[in-house]
Parts: sequence; structure tokens; C-alpha cells
Amino acid sequence: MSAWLNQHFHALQVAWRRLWSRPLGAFMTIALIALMTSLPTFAHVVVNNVAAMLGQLNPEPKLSVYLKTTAGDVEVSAIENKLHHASQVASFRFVSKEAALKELESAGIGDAVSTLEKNPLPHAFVILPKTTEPNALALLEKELRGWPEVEHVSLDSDWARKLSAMITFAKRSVLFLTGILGIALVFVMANTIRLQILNQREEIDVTRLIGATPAFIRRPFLYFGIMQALLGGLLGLALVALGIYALNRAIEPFTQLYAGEFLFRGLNLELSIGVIATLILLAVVSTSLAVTRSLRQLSQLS
Amino acid sequence: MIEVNGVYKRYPNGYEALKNINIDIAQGEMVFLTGHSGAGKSTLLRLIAGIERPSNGKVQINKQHLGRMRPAALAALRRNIGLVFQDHKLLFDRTVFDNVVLPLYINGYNPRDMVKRVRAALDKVGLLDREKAFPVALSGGEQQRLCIARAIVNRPSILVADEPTGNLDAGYGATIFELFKSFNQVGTTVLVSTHDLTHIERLKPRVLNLEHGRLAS
Repeated sequence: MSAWLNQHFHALQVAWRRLWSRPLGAFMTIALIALMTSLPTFAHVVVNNVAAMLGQLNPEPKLSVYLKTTAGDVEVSAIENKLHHASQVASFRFVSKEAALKELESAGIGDAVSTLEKNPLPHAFVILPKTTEPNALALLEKELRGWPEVEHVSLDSDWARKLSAMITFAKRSVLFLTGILGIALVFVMANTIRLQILNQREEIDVTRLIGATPAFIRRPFLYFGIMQALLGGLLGLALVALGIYALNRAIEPFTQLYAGEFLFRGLNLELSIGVIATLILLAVVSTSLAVTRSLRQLSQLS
Repeated sequence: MIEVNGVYKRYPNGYEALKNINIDIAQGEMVFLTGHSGAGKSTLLRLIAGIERPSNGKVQINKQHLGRMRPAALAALRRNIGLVFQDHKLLFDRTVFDNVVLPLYINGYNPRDMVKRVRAALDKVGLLDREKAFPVALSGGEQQRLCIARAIVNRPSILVADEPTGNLDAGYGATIFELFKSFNQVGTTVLVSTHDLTHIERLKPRVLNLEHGRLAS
């Protein structure tokens, strides 16, 4: 057991020495891995934060039905009657033109409203539909618009739904970007290992001549790939943390202006471990492919 | 132990380095391979060490046909052969100690034994005080002795040396041959190619003479 551990420790030492034998080259590869890691991770964090913020905004659809300004109690009763019998309406609330005016005054624009000769606001109904399905909502909206007493109908959650669709699109784009960069990372790491093998060809020949097994020769390259991925991943996560910090500093005055408390939440432990584990997995795959192929080519040449 | 039967070696350029070589070497024998430059001594040693494959014929070690062995089995066989190369084949980015310890790592030795064995091997070739030096700081003769230390550190059952004293002065050459003799006396099979015939009378090895790729005696 100690001999087995000793062989692995030796492979680690060799890998570490090889990594820093060309510091500039090692740093450039690690920086490249870091950038390729940080880009999708940062996008993922930002999109998830925006999605979480949207979740707090409660995009439950509501329909506001504004009656004609000439509509009186008779029209209101007629609408109430129709709404009671509408199959897609879960509940509704009547907002009289007087109540709407009071709401405006309490919102701080009473002075502006008081300059008007008469209340310009119409009676209105706020409706909670039974469905959130866009087509059914559109049908309900169309039906309400068709009623003669109704002047205007607005679907209040429309903007939230559009934003939600954009978030879904953004999430898929991040996934696509992650996939593309993941494949690119495999090529970058495989190419680094291939160059390492060419640089270490003499050493590989010597160790093979004195009886090294293919596993013994392969092991330092595997550790080399894992070390690069690990260091690149850690640097990438640090860049993401830095980016989130900078983003929070940038939006802080904006959120304070609107008395909000929204701040981007940075990396959590789960995501950080996931990023590092994925990078190590990619390193193992790319290194194994590169080492197996290159060593086969070398053995054919020698 | 080592059987070479009807071996030919032809290179892609058409040059025939070995022609119909038949040799049986018993365990514990000491064999000197002599002949002029280009006679095929190094080629024969490379075939016996499993570094190259014959064009025809077969090389067997302990009844194992080298040409039919899988890479892992061939690697295991090589771990039991100490190789001394004419061009040393040292790792120049590692210290003297690290060069010698490499076969022990490959063999999975206990870390505690490694230091003892490496120092013992370096002591035998007179390089104990240079264990922290890098090969580039060594003379040609010292590099050759370092190569010998790496070959013997593992106490292999076969020692194959290609011109081991080519770069050494006469005094160290004699010491190295004495070292080979001492290994041979404890049962190691020693196979050495050499131009240096001065030690033959003293050591009384079996001598195989190659001439133009054929065995002359």
C-alpha cells in the first residue's frame, strides 16, 4: 500500500515540477482555463440571480378591466353578473372610480389630481383568472374586450411573462455556451498534454526502457492535467467572485435610488464544487485521450 | 535463461545488422560480446533487452518469447534487466539521486529502502558525494557511472551493458568490471559488449565475437 501511495506521490511531484518548469506557459494555460470557466459561470450566476428576483415579483397574471368613464352602477352590476358566470375567472375585485382616486392620492400625486375639475378615472375590476396558460389568458382578454361596457383590458403580468421567457432563453444560452466552452476546454487541455508528451519524449523513452508500465508513464500527465484544471478552476471562481463584487458595487446606487435591497448573490459552495468537479472530469477525459494517443504514436516511432 | 534462436535483424534501409545468431546464455553466466565497430553488438543487446524486435527468429528470456509479450509483461521483464547504455540515457532535469531512484519508484519499493539502496549504488560507483548534483555538472565518465548505478540499484537478475567503460579512464574501467564480476558472483547474469579486451584474461568470461553481424566464435 505504501509503495502504491509512493508511486502516486512520485507522479504528483513529477507533475508539479513539470508544471512549473515553464512558468509562463503554465500560467497562460491556467489563465485560459480560468477565463473559459469564469465566462459561463458568471453568466449562470447572473441569470439565476435575475430569475430569483423575478420569482419574488410574483408574476401571477391579473387582468385589469377598465369600464367606460360613462359607465354607472347599472353597467357595473351587469359586468359583475357576467364575471360571476365566466368560466375562466377565479375571483374578482371591484375598484370604484372614487377608490382609485384615493389610491392615487395616497401614492403622493393627490396634488396633481386635485387640479382636475372632475374625477377622470373609470370604474374598474381586477380579475384573477383560473389559468396562467398564455393562450387561455389571451382568449379571456379578448372576451372581456368584447363586452360593450368595457373600455380597456390590460394583462398585468404580461411584462413578467416576457421577462421570464427571456430568462429561460438566457438560461438555455448559458447552457449552450457552457457546452461549447467545455468542448473547447477538452481540446485546450488535450493539446497542452500532447505538447507536454512531446517535450518529455526523452524521459518517456528512458522510463519505458527501464521497465515503466504504461500506467506509470501516464500517471504524471494525468496529475498534470488535473493540476492545471484545478488551478484554472480556482482562478476562474475567483474571477467570478470579483465580477459579482464589481456588479454589486455598480448596481448599489441604482437599487438605493428605488429603495430596493436587491444584490447579486455570489457563488455558493455547491456551484463551486460542481465547477471544479466538472473541470477535473474534463481534464481526466482529455488527458487520457491525449496520453493514450500520443504514447501509441511514440511507441510506433521508437 | 537467455535464448537467441536464428535471429536476423534487417533495418528499413536494407542494412542487415545481424545474421542467423544462435546463443544460449545460462543463469549466472558472464558473457563478453566483442567485435569491431558496426559488428552488431549493440543491436544484439537491444534485441535481448526487448528494445527492438528481430526481423526473423526469436529471443527468449526464461522461456518467454519477447516478440509475443504484451507491453505490460515486457515492462515487467525490463524491470528485471539492468541496462547500461552507451549514450547513458540520463534525465538531465533530475539530480543524480533522482536518476538512480527512478527504477525503485517503478518497482514500487518501500520509501525507506529507496534511500539506502540509492546510496549503496552511488557508493559502489564512487558518486555518493555527487548525489545532489545534476548530470550536466558531471564529466562523461561520471555520467557513465551514474548510468551504471541506475542499472544496478534494483539488483536485477540480468545486467546488460553496452560499452560501459567507453568513457571511463583505465582505473575506473577496472573498478566497473570488478563491480560487474561481484554481481555475477551472486548469481546475476552479466552481458557486456566491449572493445576493451584487457579485462578478459583477468575475469575469464565467456566471449562471443561478432563479425559483420555473424557470430564468429
